[in-house]
Amino acid sequence: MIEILFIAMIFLGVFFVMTGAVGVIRLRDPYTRLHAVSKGTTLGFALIIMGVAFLHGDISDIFKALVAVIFQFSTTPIAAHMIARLGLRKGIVPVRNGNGDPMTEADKNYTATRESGEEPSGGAEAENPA
Amino acid sequence: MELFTLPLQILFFAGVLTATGLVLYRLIYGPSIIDRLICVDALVLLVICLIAGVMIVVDTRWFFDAVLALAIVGFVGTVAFAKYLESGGLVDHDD
Repeated sequence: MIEILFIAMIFLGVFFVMTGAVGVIRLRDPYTRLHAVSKGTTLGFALIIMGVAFLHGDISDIFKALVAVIFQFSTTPIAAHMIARLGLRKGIVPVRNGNGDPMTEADKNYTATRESGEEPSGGAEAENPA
Repeated sequence: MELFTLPLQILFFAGVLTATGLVLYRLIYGPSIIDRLICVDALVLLVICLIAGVMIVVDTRWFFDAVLALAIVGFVGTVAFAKYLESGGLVDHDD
């Protein structure tokens, strides 16, 4: 009864899709929400589509679903990269501290130097003997 | 499908539609433009999952072409919209 395995695969995909949606609601930052969508929802999509293809289709449908899944896996990082770059250029500040606080002082100084067009003064690069 | 019975179908659609509702909430009340773009990108994937559910319910296999087309169109739409919002046009004028 290998169909039971495929049905379990479909419901694992539903679990991952719901995890991505809950991450979209619960996370605090547009960049972390992008992280939740571009990983959780894509994995859930792949599991659901491949489960349905194994459950219903013949070999051509399995290859069609495989093409869709490979395409989605290879283009989701590009789309997420474009969205994150749009956010940085629109000036949306990421939250960097994990305690629910806003950014630390070092992060604020880093963002201020980046916005004023200067290079951030890094101590590690100054101490580099090369 | 005799194994994918009616309670399993109801569970599938409840899960995917709940996820769609949460994403639609963030799409409507999202504070920034990035949230809305993220949610449009996620809604395309959720619509594809709903198409997969319809394939299970009506017991057909003729919708995989729609799955493939929607995956391609969703990627192109997201990238084009992000590029448009970033630079005000789809073509960079660097020279």
